[in-house]
Amino acid sequence: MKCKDVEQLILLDLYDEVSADDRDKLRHHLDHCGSCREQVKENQQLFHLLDLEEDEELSPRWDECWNKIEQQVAIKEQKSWIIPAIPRWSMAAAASLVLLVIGFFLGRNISPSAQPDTGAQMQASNRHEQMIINNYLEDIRPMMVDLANYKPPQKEKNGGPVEKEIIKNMLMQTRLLKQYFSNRLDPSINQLLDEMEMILIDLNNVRPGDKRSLQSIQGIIKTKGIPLKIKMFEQKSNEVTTI
Amino acid sequence: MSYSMNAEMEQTVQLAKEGNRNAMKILYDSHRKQILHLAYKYVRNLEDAEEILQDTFTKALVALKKNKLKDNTRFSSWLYRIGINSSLDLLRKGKKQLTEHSDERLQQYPDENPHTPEQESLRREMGQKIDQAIQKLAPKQRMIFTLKHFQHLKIREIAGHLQCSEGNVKKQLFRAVNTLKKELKPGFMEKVNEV
Repeated sequence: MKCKDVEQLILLDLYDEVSADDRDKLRHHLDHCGSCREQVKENQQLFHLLDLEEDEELSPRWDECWNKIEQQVAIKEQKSWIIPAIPRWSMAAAASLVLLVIGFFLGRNISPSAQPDTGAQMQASNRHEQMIINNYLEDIRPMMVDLANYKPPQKEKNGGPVEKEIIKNMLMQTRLLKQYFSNRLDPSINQLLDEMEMILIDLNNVRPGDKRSLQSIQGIIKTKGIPLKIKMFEQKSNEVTTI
Repeated sequence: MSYSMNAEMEQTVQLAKEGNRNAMKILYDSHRKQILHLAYKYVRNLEDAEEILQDTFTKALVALKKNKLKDNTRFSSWLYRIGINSSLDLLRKGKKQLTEHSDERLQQYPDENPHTPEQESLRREMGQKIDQAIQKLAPKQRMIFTLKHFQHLKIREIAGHLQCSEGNVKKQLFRAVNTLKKELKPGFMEKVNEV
């Protein structure tokens, strides 16, 4: 074996990455070659030198790193949610459902049936209910406006103007509001909630590419003046909350 | 890792895929040291190593939720590969150059054989010289050397992680060691026995 043939083996042997056969050949070569023995010595010195720095221990900021990871994951997930087919209100709608459910639980704690109310508690309860209604109206109005103005493309790629998940979320919110506020709100808002429920059910049943059903829903939204009605309720409830 | 631990880890990975925050944290806690150590040995300063750690876990957790990892049992090696790529990316960006070995958050193990002030000074000087020498290696060569020398991976494993042949790994490793010897030889290799 020539020196050139063993130069890699000399190094790999120190890492214990040489077959038994190659090791025998290497030993035999080293027995007769001073310059390759020198290479072995140099490699050993380098390894020894590199080992010296293994004494250090690191003190990383584990928690800070984790917090940043969580933030980055959240940001990247939000970005992947926003696809062009979904309008701006879709994320708000999903978030509102969560707030709505939390709101109900908080609201129940100050509901009239739980315990006798003082005047202040009644006021707090009313404000809380108005806030929940306001959040709902803020989400549903742009959705209805976008829907009324939606022009279906020649070939529907995304299955319709609104994602099914969003429709289901809004439908669930509407039903929750109807159930919870059935006898406690202005009757006209109950009527609006009924109309919203009907529209959302129809919308949920629209199949991709079914332009006729979609146009019929758009017709209902326009004739009933849904966006305008919502806007009026928004203004009204804003006045109440401000008072 | 025992069978039950493997099964537990698989379940944790599955939960993380489903968005369970606690599961994600468990994966972070159980693998953070391994990734940080790899990154630190590669970039050789703690701040950049932390950046690689964050980048690795962010990429991995987002990919997990998108179900990019098909086989949950392969999580550790999959994560390790992401760590390798994140480390390579940092150097490829070209923005990072080695800082001197002066990180305040490095602690020294208590030494059983205390050194004289001269020996201490020589060790520090050697540490810096080693850092500088390793910095001179090309990114991939540096990664191969890091994985072999500091992470003690088998040539076969390195080839798998870097998706190249074993022959190529051996060749790059050989070149890396020769470069280091050349860089460290003048005046240093002989002093090894003094510290």
